[in-house]
Amino acid sequence: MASYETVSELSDSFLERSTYGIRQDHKEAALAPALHDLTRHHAGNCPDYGRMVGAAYPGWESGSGLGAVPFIPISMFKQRSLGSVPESAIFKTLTSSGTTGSEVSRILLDRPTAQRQTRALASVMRHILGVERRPMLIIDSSSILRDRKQFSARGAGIVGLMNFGRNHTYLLDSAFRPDADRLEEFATKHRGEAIFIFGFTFMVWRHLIKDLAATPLDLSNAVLVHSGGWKKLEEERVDNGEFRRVLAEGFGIRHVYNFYGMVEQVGGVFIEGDDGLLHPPAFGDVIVRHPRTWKEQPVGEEGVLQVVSVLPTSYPGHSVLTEDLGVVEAIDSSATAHLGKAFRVVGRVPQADLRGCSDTYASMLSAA
Amino acid sequence: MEVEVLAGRLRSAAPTGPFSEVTRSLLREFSKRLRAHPAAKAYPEVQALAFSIRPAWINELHREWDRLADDFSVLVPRGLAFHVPPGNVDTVFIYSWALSALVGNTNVVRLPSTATDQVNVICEVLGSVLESDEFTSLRPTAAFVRYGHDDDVTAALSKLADVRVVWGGDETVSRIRRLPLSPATVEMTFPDRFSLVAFDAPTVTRLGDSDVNWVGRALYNDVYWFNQLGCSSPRLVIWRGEAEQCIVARDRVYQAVVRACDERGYETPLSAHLAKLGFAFNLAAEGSATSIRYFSNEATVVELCDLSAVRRTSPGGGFFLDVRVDTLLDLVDFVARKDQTLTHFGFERADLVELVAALNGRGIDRLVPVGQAMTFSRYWDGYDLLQAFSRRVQVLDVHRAAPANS
Repeated sequence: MASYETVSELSDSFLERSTYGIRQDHKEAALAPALHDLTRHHAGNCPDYGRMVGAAYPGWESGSGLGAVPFIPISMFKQRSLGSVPESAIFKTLTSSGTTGSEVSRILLDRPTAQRQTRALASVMRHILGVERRPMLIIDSSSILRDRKQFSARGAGIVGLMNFGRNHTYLLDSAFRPDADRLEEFATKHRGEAIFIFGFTFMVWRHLIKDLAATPLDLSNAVLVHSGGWKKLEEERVDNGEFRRVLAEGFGIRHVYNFYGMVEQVGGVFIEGDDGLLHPPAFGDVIVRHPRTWKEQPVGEEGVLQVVSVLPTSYPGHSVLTEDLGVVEAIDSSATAHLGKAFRVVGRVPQADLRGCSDTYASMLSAA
Repeated sequence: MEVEVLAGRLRSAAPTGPFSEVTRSLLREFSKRLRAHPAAKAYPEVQALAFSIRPAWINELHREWDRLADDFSVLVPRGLAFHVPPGNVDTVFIYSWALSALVGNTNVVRLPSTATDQVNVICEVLGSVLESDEFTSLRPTAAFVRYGHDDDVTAALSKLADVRVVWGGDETVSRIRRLPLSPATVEMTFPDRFSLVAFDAPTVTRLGDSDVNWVGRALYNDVYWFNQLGCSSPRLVIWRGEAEQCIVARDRVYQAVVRACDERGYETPLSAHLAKLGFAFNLAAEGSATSIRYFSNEATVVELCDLSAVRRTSPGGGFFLDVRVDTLLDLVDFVARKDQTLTHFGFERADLVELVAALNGRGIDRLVPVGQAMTFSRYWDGYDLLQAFSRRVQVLDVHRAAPANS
């Protein structure tokens, strides 16, 4: 088996590639063997993972092609602590509270994997922010970062993106109310400068868009990045189009980028292009799977998202079946500067109560 | 309705005798109307209920009841039965009520707190039958009540009852057990159970295609009516035979069950499939599973190294734990009190009786052919319900005077 150094070097090499400039066929030709190498690495070094792929994917060792990379359900990171490096090498543990129940994902990062995480973010963010650090407005409260050892997903997201800004200012006070004075001060100080706004999608909606709806604010020089999913906004019937429209009309913000990713996958960072679609970087990809045959879906067909990334070497998160639904809208489209897949996240897999034989039969009734 | 009002009504009810004509007639009419109801088509468990309480079954029960009496005793109703049915099986409350009513008890049934279509249909039909003049006398003897998580109501009804029947999870049983009964009241509890099915692999491999399809449909009925969450739905699958035979038999049976799901239009919700996947991968990660076989979203099969790897929890929705054995007697050390139903295919009665004898009461209360896991009977969880809903009164005449003093 390849040494950890060899595996690490291969992962690192993907960060040297053009983030969005590689055609899908070339990209897959490079990703697939690297991902299969990672499967071997993790199977050899994480006994739990080795047993999982051994049980679920007979003959996995001889698999080739992107579609044949074994995946594990994302819930595994809640059920087990999966690591492929000695415990002493663990440098940081990421945690995330899931939306399904109270269990928490535990993601074990060693130094090289954590560094790759930082570099991956940088290569993605450079595309929308440029190389200079901008004054940064965070649509959250600094109290979210209180526990620095065990980052929440929100805290981790903020800390990760803080590297791309300066003069960090939190919009919310410790009681999670917008601090108008602080905002005013920030706006005055940085008048005319290009600024960077980051927040979780529902925080932006609730605290920037709604709380400050009556406050005249010109943020037309801002780039806004948001992340975290649409679930809470769906309840208010707000989609991406409406979200962007309100930001443009209310605040003059025209550079709005949604960001899809999950704490469970280092390098699985997907950012919105001007086409309103998400784009996988050179070191990762998405595969949309049919929810019953589990075969790869053609362009335009919805399915369950599998995310792959060549960056995680300290834990087996290189190929994960998410609980999100999505659709690839285009491949190598000439409409944007991005080659490769362009996709949309449709939402989470609906949680059906299993008592619901009634659900099944109700749908039969209405179909009859 | 206030609990006191309900209590008064129940106390004033004039009980009928065991297997009275009017009660049997009520059940006849109920079965008939339930079968004709459009919902019976949509809900197989409603259909099964209508079929189960058909006149032939009631007549058979009646004959069995008559045989329960002997030369030294007579059976009489206990009085007031309080039924607390489970939340996860929509029709059990009716079986529980029907047996008790036939025996001649007055009944108060707590309805499941979540009103499913099935429960609503059943109540609506039974209500409409009770409306007719013929059954005026029975109306006060049957109360179906729904209330929230209110232990006060349960406590009040418990004090009134002569027999309390608690179905449902261990937690429900434990919680309700803390509520006192009158000193003379008896209680039957039906806590969480675990069930399994055993296939004789050589027999399965010899079957023709249509017989395999029959087995698939039978297993479908056992497993999917209640999303594999009913206590008697098998979750563990025992394959008896040589390893190679078992592989062939397993593939045939699961492929047949997938076809049966297809025929009935049963689909495991996607979220439940993902939950099963998580369960399966976790078993593999901890080293209990040797292989995860995916037949369809409806059938996730986890092959375990041996019986010691079985844990009696399951996500439901078509999640099967497979274990191979050389003989049914291999189950003896594994079986526990929690194990309820062993459905079987391909075994001789002698094999089954031998197993029961070897178990010596450790567990397993029912052994029934595949396809009958959900078929309700007077024997349930080790109780004979006909007997348990009644009281045996000893009657000795002078000529049979006790021989003790001789």
